[in-house]
Amino acid sequence: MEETPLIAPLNENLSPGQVRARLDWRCDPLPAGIGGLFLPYGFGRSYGDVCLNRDGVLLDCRPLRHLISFDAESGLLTAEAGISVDEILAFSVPQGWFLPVVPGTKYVTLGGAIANDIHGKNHHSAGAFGCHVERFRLRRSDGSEWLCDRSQNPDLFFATIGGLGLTGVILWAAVRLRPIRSSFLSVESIPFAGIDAFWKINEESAAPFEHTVAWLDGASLGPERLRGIYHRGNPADEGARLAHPGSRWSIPRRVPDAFLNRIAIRALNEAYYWKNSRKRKTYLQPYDPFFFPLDGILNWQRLYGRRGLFQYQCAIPPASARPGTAELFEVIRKSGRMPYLAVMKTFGERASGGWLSFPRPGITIALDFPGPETELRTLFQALNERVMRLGGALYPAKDSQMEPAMFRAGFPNYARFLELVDAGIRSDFAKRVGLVK
Amino acid sequence: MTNFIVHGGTSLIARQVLEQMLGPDSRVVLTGRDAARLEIVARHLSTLTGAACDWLLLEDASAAAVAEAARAACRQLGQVDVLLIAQGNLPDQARCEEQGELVAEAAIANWQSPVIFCLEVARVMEAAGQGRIGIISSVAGDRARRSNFIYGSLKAGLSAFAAGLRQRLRGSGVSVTLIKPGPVDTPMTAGMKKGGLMANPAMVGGEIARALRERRSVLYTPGYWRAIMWIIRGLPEFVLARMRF
Repeated sequence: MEETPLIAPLNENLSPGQVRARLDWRCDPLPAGIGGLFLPYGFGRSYGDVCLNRDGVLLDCRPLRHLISFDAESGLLTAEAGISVDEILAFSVPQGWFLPVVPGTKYVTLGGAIANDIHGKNHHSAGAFGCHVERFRLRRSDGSEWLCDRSQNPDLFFATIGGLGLTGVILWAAVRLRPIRSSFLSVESIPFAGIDAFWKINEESAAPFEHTVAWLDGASLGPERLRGIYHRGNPADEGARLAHPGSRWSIPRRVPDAFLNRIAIRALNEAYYWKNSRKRKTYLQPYDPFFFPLDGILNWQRLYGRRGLFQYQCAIPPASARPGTAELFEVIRKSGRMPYLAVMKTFGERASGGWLSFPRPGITIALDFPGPETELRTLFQALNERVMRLGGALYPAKDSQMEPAMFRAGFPNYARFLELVDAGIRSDFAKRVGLVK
Repeated sequence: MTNFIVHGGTSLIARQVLEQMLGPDSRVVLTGRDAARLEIVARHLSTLTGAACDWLLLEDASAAAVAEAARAACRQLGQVDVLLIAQGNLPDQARCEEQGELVAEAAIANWQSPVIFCLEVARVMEAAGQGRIGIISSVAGDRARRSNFIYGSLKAGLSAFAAGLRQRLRGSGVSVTLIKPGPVDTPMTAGMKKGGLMANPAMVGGEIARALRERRSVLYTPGYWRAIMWIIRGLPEFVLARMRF
């Protein structure tokens, strides 16, 4: 297996030699003499190497964040692709509109949300981000521009949704927002013990709740009995419509490597469980802590120190979801490695149509392990083998280790995708799984 | 404050100032040399704030074209409440030292064009007896340094102009705010190294908006540049001459 240095590839951690270029205006051509194969780049918050391009150029698209139009009647927002979820919400929430799908951090761009066809806690009710994208404009490295929607250039449209930035630079996109009455959610947090209890609550919650997600005590994936907190919620009817401010807390740049050791992991999970199991059954929560718990502390990723964070996120089809989940947990238990954070959530039937989209009906499990990568390799390989056998797939945005065969098995549309890959673009991920030479 | 003119309407700092000052009742005229970019900014600002945003294309950078654009902008708005001079660029010092034409271009972009535009609008404001003028100069104008003294000398000229204009307009109801940003993370500084002193444009924009509201005379932004430049201005010439930065 190819040796890949797997530091959590967040902006500050990029190797100092990385070449960068920036796109300041959507009317400008791509920077002349960009000097090599490039990759459209936003916040670099993907955990794996879909946002890395070690031998090429990162094309910084964050300057492209102008609004283009907003229809306050229909909620159709058109904006440049470098705008962030944070910036969109600051604009739309006071007017009573919210993004239809948001990921676990608000520091992602509109373009990145499309390119990774991100999902949120409402996937079972709203589908992935791509379901709500009406159209976008794509610039290829040959200079050609393509207006793409479901009827115009549909192949490029569906290749680009979940296309990991490999089909061109998304200059702008139009996305349909959903109306909200307040910026709060009505939330329930239910402690549960044992995996059967999870499945029961999960089944009961799907229809009445737009948002559902289960947090599992990572330490309880060990020899003890599994326990967790099930969060479910609906948009509230009451409360003001306020864009919530960002956090003022930040993690210092250098954290001792030993910070997230086994004892700390256990303590943090214990504290989280204790705090949440004591909450009122139903309460109003502002959207920010509900959707973006990790953003509560800026640069939280620094907690992982130089060993880095390795997330393993897979999806398992409905038929094998229950036995499959038990099997994966058994593999983890036997490995003795403890995830710092574990999350489970149901994916619904609604598909965005993106050729390389990750969300698919079934259950998705995300497991955060502290590095170093060398110590996780055996475990991840064992998990890979089970996931493939169960007919599942890994989430490219979180992956840094799957091999080409596993990618091809999980994303059977890759063959026709290859034909639309922009010859001027590459990423480390694309190279690793065989999407580019 | 409802009617705004921005000379150098595609400036990122200017955009950040406007984002924080405009409201649905505002009217804005942006001027610049690139129609496509002006349109992008105007649409952004009107979508974001509900303001009526328009732009005027400068035919060229000649004195006549700049003066005419300033007059046209004033005619369009009738009353002008805020003028923001954000026009400028960062010339290539080494190439300027070789080619006189580049020096002339830099002088037009960073001094001549801002000064002519400002004088035209100032006349209208003076006659109306009210208004606020913000002129974006630079800390680079406070003391020349080896690596960018063409730019620095032009910004020094612009700072001196602002101080003189403030004296002329004293008692007229028109304020002049001289704005001296340190390096800000914008397209203009894209070639510079991103050190710890590179400021966030939104933060700088917010400070400029507040200084205009409060009719401050001089704004260093971020504020710590006031202290830094106080020290640097105090250095004897023989010390500075030995420094290469």
